[in-house]
Amino acid sequence: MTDITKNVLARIKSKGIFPRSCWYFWLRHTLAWIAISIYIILSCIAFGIIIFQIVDADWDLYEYLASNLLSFVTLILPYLWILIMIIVSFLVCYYFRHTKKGYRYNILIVILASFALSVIGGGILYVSGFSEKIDTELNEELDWYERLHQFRHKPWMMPQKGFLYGKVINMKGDRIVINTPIGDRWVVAPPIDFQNRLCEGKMIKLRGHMIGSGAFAADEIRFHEGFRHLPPPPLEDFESIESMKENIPIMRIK
Amino acid sequence: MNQSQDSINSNMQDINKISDENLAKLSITNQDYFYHLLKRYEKKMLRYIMRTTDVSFQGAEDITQNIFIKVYENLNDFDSDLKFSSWIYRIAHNEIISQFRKRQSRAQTVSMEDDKGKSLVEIINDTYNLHEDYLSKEMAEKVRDVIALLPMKYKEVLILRYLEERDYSEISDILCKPIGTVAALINRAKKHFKNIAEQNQLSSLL
Repeated sequence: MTDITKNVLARIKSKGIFPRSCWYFWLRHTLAWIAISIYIILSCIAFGIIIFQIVDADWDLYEYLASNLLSFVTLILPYLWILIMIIVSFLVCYYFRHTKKGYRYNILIVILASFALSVIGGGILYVSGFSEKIDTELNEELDWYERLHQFRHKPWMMPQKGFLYGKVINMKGDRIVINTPIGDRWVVAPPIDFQNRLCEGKMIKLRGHMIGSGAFAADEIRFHEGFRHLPPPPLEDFESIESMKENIPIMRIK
Repeated sequence: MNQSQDSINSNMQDINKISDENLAKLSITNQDYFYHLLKRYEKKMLRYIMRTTDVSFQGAEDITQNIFIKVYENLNDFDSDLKFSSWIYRIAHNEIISQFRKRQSRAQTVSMEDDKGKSLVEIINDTYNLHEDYLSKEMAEKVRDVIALLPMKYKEVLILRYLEERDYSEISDILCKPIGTVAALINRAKKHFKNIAEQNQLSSLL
């Protein structure tokens, strides 16, 4: 039998092996925790946008937009963000399990804790309006992201039924021109109350009726980013604050 | 001469009083302490590898050397909240898995006796109230075959629990699994053992 201990010490000496520095391990563990923190933040953002996209869906119009409630729900579910959240949650669990004491916790508890953190963080992001901001920015800046949302807005691309969706590309007097995701251009007469709130580049959903080929009269406008980011209507349009309050339900701002 | 011998003996007694955990800390700056630490685990590691894998004695020695080198390289990563024995067994477990994957072959045999000469057959049989009288050499071989048929995860957990005599918390630290999972794994390993034993004509003893 060889003397293993002596062999090991000889190998350590001949190969110049040293214990790795404390800093090496500190950095490794810290990087793992940084990765976990980043994934948790991503998970919160994903959950916040999931809440926003579900709440922002046109629930009041589901009867017009889909054949039944179930098909409406399958239509509006934000699959991309749900997928992102699942992947990120998996990564959180994976990295947590590889921390110094992460293995001591039951995987179910880790998953639940990660989910709870996402719900709390996502809820805060939604309430603060940050989720809407991110979703709107992504929608306006990334073509592929906007295209991804097209199926959600598909029911809004039925002008003959009174639904129209597109980006404002031009504003002339009391008329606006919008470009639909399939490339059609429509000249739209917006409701007077909305004229001052529109600007080029904004994605809008319109309810109204066709008044001719490529012409649409809108009774109601819904903005992609929800009501929180709308500029307030100019006061001169209203006789008083009271009249403004009276007008809000009629405008059905969402 | 006598004085120097006394001094050596006194030093050895001092070192024997030092815990593994403290010896590991001292080893970072002084290799002499590392020597004594390795001496404490040399036989334990060899025995554990022989029990868990099908490698030859020479192969087990090579794996043990690799384990000790890894222990030395990672001394600064040793968490004093753990027992040193759990930490070194964890490194051994990882090294065995790594070797196991490299070899792409399943372990075939298990060394069946612990330090006290008590066989795994006896220890596991205690759980099922087996009659020791029936434990013949032939039966021991059959049980060895049964153990060899067990998946690695079951085999290892049975060896750690009943031969290495590690408690659940230590096994949890060695295998990096929650204690509840370790308990469930041991339970499943016993059931698995029983099933295979029944299929291999050991049912009369169960």
